[in-house]
Amino acid sequence: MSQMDQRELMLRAAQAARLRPQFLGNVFAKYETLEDLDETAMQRDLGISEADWLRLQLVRRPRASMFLKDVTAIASEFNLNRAALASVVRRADAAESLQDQRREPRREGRLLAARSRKKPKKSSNRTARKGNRHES
Amino acid sequence: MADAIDQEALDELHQRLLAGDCVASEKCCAILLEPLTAETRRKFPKVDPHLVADGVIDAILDYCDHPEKFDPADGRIDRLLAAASWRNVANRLQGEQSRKKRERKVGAKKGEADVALEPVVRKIQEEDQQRSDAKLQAMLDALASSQDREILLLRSQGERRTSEYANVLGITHLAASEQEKEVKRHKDRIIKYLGRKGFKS
Repeated sequence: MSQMDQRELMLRAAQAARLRPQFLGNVFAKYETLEDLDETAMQRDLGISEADWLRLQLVRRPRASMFLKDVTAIASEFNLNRAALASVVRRADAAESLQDQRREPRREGRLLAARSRKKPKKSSNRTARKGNRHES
Repeated sequence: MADAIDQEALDELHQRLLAGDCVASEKCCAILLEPLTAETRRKFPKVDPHLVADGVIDAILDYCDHPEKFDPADGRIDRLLAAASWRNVANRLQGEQSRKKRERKVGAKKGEADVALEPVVRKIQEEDQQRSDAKLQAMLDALASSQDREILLLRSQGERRTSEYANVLGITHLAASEQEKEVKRHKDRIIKYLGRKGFKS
């Protein structure tokens, strides 16, 4: 059986990283789906070589709390346009948040329906209280 | 071969990973991938080198994701990763065997269902099945990745459990909600791709 060279291993590792939410590769994979792009187009848009593109997939995604610092560090390491990189990450993150939010309204709808049925009628209560006062 | 790994560089990268340095993960892969893969290949000489590579890659990426789980007091990081790689390869081998068993079962079921039917009905059903099989085969042939082919196969068999897809994708370590998201993303991607190739699901 043949040995796998470093490039082939990096390619395989990059593909694996694209499946893992903690890696930049996954962010790019989501962005590509959103924008209907392929990896070649992404490389071209970011102005990055194929070798560096594979390395970039293996970088951990910027932390929300340290977003600017992390994006700057990544852009500096790979000689990327920082704003372009930040834009890609934010777009992918925003789409993911929207997807998460879309799952929530179904539960809210059921709660609203339940609340409206349980809401007491004010007029009947007032009538009942007047009646009680007379009796006492 | 493990001695080819620069221990000082690895220790420094470990600290950088713990400190949250994003770029450190890529550098870890660069120095660990080849030597660990070579070592694991020697441990599993008859196993598909791609399966071995995937086991090593999972170990390294798991480490980069959670470096705090690797304590240098337990031993050298590369030794801990070597052990993790071996476990991953063994698990993947077991997964492969289960998959082959599943494929054999599907083949057997197709034969059993046809026996009791009326001849005409059976002929129509056979023709339908042949058309369906031919279409499925064409879709499988259109997919470049064996992983994608396996996902399509599971889908065509009516598999609904996320765990089965997650096994194929190698993402069983993720939380259930993340697994669902990733499985859906891959299914949608494959269907979209096949749609562009002229296949309707």
